Amino acid sequence: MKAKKYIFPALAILLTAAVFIWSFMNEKESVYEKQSFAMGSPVKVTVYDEKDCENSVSSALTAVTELDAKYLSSTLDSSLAFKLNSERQIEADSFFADYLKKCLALSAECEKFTLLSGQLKALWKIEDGGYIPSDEEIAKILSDTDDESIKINDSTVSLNGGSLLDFGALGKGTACQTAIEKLKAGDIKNAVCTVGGTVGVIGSPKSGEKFKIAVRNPFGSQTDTIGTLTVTDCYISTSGDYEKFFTVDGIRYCHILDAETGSPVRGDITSVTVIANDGTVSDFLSTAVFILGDVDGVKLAEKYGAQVIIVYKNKTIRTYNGAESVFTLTSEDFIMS
Amino acid sequence: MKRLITKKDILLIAAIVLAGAALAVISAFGENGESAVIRLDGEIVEEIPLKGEYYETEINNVTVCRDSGEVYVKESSCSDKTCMRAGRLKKSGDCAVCAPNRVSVEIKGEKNTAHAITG
Repeated sequence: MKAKKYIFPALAILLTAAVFIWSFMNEKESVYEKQSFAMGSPVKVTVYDEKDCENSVSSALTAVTELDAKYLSSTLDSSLAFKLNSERQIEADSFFADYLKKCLALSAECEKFTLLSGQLKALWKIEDGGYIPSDEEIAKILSDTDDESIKINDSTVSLNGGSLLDFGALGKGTACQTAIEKLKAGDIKNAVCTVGGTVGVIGSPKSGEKFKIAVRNPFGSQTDTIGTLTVTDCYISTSGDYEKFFTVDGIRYCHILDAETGSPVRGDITSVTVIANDGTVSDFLSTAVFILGDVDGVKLAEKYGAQVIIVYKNKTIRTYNGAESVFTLTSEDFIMS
Repeated sequence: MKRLITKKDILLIAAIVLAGAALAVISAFGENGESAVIRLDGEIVEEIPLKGEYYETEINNVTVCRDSGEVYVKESSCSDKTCMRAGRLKKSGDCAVCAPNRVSVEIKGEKNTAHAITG
């Protein structure tokens, strides 16, 4: 009965192996997650580092709230944008002046895009049930939406006419990047941050893996998705006609305005997703491509090395600038074309 | 000569490996204890298990209700009603957000496949 000697050691080894296999298959990503609410959107940070990161995450969320309250908000009277709109001339700090210049440089790349969309937004009452203005009403304020109406002289920033500055089209992208940079400064290596429609990712959820970021279904609910982006170290922004809109006589008026016509964009596109290495740029581009349409929009995105995924109203999807290598279609209701 | 490992041992080994595999399969598919997490300003204010009788709660002018294993926003004071259009939530990751009232409802579970959603 010599073999009996081996049964127990063998059993012990196998049991250990079984438990190991079981625990390996059950390995959960070690995650720390925190949410807040800022810029009219949920803000969410998820960290995948196996270390104490509570303070870094809190400071990232605080940075988003502060960026909005101090600089970008159109509604909080503490922000420089609000002060500029109401006082018409302000003394800006170097951050605000530099940021404004960066945004103006982006805006200058797209004739149909404006940083001064505040009056048009108010006229169309996009946030407030909707209103269809007359051509005269639009014409009256259209000249004020030209970016030339904003002047920067050293630290003095002023607005002409009735122009109203609005960072709505790119502020959340900037906030997302601010949060990601705060996390990096706190030595966080693997994280995801969502601010509105912009997602920033650094590192990986598990070693050797990339993040899977789902793209929302423009025809579905808030969590219905059409496909997945497999990415790392980038910013992803989506603009669509489904988030804020009103409908009159069967026509959908969306919140994205064309600065040349002064009216909501009406094309064959329902959503645009852009992947770039800068949050402000990805947010700007998703809106700019939506306004410009695929031909000119994709060319503009190419200048910034940005990848583009466009969902058309006829439920076809096209990928541009190499986006096919990161996008996987998951919904059967759409086709790639 | 006696064998190092007998047929009985092999059977035992097979049984242990099978048990391990079964355990893994069960834990991968058996997570049914899901609940709805309601947040105000990003902070959790209430958690409702999906199982249970009809239930209603109001958080910052948003009425969330549980009915037949599903949770949905029944009523909201906001103008856009995006939260109500989100419909009935039951799958892990499903969510409804009311931006004007800063309230979100999200179904909690371990089966999220994506790390975030853009859009």
